[in-house]
Amino acid sequence: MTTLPLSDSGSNLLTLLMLTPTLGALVMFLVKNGSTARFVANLFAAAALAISIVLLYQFDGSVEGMQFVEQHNWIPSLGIKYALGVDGLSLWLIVLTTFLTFLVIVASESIHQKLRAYLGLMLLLETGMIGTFMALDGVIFYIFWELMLIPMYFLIGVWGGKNRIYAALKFVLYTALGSLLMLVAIVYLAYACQEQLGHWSFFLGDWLKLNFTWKEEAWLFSAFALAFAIKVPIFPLHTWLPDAHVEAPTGGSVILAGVMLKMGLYGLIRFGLPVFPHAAIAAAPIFATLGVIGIIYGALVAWVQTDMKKLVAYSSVSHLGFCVLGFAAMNFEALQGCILQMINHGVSTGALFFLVGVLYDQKHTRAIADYGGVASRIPVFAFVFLVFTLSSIGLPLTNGFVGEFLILLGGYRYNPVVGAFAVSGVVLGAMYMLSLYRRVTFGEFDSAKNGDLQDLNLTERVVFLPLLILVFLIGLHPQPILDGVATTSNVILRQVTVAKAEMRLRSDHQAVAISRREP
Amino acid sequence: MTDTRDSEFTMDYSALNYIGALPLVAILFGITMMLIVDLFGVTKSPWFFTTVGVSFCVIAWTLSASYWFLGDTVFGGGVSLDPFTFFFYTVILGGTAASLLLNSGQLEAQRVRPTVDVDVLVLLAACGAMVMVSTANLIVLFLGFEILSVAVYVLAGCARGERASAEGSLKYFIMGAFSSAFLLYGIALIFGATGSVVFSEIQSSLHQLAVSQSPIFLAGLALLIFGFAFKVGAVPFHFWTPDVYQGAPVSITTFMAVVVKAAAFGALIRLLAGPFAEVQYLWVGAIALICGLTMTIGNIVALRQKSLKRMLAYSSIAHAGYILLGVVAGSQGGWEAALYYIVVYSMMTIASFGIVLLCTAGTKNQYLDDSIETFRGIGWRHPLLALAMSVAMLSLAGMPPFAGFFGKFYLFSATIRSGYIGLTILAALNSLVSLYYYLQVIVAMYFREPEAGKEIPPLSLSFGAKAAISIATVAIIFTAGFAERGQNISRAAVVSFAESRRVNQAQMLHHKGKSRHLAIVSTQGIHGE
Repeated sequence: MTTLPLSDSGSNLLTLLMLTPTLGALVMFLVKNGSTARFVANLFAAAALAISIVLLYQFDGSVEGMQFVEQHNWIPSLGIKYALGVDGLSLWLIVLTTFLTFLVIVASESIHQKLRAYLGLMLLLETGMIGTFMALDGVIFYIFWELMLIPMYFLIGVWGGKNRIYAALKFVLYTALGSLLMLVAIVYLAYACQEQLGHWSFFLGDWLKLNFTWKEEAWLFSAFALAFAIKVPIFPLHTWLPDAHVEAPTGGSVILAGVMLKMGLYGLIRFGLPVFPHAAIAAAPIFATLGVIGIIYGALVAWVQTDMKKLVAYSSVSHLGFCVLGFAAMNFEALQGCILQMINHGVSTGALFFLVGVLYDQKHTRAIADYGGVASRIPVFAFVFLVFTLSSIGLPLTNGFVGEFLILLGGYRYNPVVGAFAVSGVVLGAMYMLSLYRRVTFGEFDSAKNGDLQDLNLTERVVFLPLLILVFLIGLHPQPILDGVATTSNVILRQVTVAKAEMRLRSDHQAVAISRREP
Repeated sequence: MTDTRDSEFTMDYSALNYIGALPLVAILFGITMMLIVDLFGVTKSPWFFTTVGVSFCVIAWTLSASYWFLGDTVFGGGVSLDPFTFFFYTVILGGTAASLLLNSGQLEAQRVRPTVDVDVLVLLAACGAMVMVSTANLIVLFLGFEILSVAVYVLAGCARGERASAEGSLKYFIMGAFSSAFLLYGIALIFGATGSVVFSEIQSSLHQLAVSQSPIFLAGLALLIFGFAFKVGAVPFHFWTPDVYQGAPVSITTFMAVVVKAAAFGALIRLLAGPFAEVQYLWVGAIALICGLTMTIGNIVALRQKSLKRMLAYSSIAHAGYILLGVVAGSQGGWEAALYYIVVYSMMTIASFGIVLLCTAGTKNQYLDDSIETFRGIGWRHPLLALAMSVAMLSLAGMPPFAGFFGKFYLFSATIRSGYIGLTILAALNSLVSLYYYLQVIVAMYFREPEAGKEIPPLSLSFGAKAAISIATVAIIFTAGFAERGQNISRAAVVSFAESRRVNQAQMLHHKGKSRHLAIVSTQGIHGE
């Protein structure tokens, strides 16, 4: 039995942060023309970013458990609480969300039609994402989880590429398959609270107190894990991802890769592992194997892509494989690396999608073969592209290195064979990313076809600058992030240790029982 | 036995009887007034009749408000005045008012002769529905059933020039006649087995194993359930639904989907949570089977529909299945979840069918050519309308934070609490299937451009229709804020009804000196969780 320490700051900072983008989305109904809309949307996105930075400053990295907790009864007869809180795991993901959404809205200049709807949906999506990261109550979590789905569905379906309708439907149906089964499991957990604690409850703190039979725990964990594995996505449930990423507009891809792919792992670490530690530990080898398969498979498939966006999409499968491995290893380094790598991936892959978007907006093609030698024509672009390519590969001094290194370290400690296979992903990553870079920026420049390419304009430079800074900042000085993450990792790993001990005890009992039976 | 029944059937003319009759009298008065005005040709304005009709709905509703504080049976045990009745009166009168609003000024566009008859028949059908849900006696139940059905048979065929309408009406009539026959035969058999048609007496006689296990009673119960399954459009008695829903004018389809369904479920819940609660083990398996089939077949067949009305018809079949989840749960939580879902479903139906009406009324060949593709591009041409439709579709699919999500959530809670985990998972997977076809509407509205020459004509937005759609949509969106209150209201409706049942039971048993059953009653009462 574990508890969830809660520290209440007495402020409604989290609610404010969560509602700010929604307010912006509502204002979109009132404004009349596109430029005002963009200004207003920028304003609200900046406000959300500012609030999240205030959160960052007030957050105490050394305190265990949830901070800024808000708790109100919502539907008391079923024990549904409006409960929000933030810890070292969610804090940085929230900051990443507000940061990337702000950049996406700044970069919305490439959207020419139905701009107000685009911005409104983007802001609504931000609320959904922030809410998911804050929710401490199963129902609230589920509501925000589904709330993310609808705006993204519209973003892909309306502003997407040629095959957008298929991609949008596939994205929604895949995700909903997992989440509906998760809903059944959520309700079952509340029912288990009624049985064991005497009252219905969807509160995470109550869920942590539950004891399950092995069969119950395995089923419940499977329901949660399926929903999260689809969202990550873990091989072989990843097939929605290339479609969704390729068809989505640039902003949609950035958010999808930058934030929404983290939801799955976030869910596993927030709900899956603490609530069902025994099942999660038992399933860890499966996760580790699938993670490693994802690393290698994603990299190999990325290597042979002829479409830039698809290549970056498959590279996400590979990178997320590292995170899954970090989760499955369940030791301190790996878990820290997993959480850090989620943020890193958001920064570097988000930036890569922005970069692909820069080219696509001008030439309306994503085929790698249509470019070549662009470094001579657009040098600033080529430089920025290089930095994010290296960050994605995980070159030392960049952010990607710290995360991958920690995961590999933990991976070796967990199982040397798994670690060895995972390392091959780093090599493969260098291969496909550098080959992409080479094919796009170097070689023969076709001035007839690409002679009119423009280099990054002011808005685009404004978008890339903070991302560049972050690449090196996290690469050189990751400690501030790791501090908060370390405290949370410790809490989670303590639960794992307890659960492992329990499992050992249980199997000892069984062994004793068997040996007694034998004579 | 005979003595008690005689004494029960002696009419007493207490004030409660008048209170019990008042809402129906109000509606009938409204009908008379409309007919007289029409007869003397004072006015032909559809607005006048709509206003009168809606006002009398409101008056009837107000007159029934006192039921919320009562828990009695009147008319010799034929009619119950309790919160349950008031709850369903609210749904029925609300649905009736919505249909009247959708009718007003839209009849001609739907190829219906714009006479007062349609509004009068709608109100008459509402009377039947009201009788059905307040029943405490199988004969009264049948009376209500027939008053409702006969009026709706006519309404379904009121677009007389349209083949689809005539076909739907005839099918509905034949199928409906079957279901009435089933119901009546079931009532006769139950009377034969238990010796009574009064709920409380049926209930007490079911304590004897000789009665509850007799083949006559079992056959009667089965026929009764079949009759209701016809009316709510549950599989395998659903075949009439798509044709009738497509053939009827949309405003009438709305009435059928809201009022007829609510009335049938109200009466079914009254029976199963009332006299037949003690023999739950006899019917729960059958209902669970019907529930699973209804959800699955409704949703899967809806996937293949091109016509929007047919798609919504199959979706309404599927939703009947969801409501049955609450019935299967058979607990207090189950009944209250079912009640909650009926309200939520009514709102979603009014919004979605209302918008279908706005988009198809007046178009050529509207009865057969209402393909989902006709909705292409309205997302950008009529943003508010499309927004309302999207909300309705997402809510029907059970997406949070809309009303449909809370409805499903309560249902799932109830079924899990009662241990039907397999059925709950089936329902969850069904929601996934339904998401696909509901999203097709959104795809058409927002993701596709209209085909050349097939743009939606300028819409004739009548005020009444706009009002009905807006109210329903706002209610769907803001349910989240009132989820607890809504839940409490449906709980109160069920608790009172269950309580009065328990009291009745206790009195009855005590009266007959079977005190040994008291213990069983108090442990088995649906309140005891």
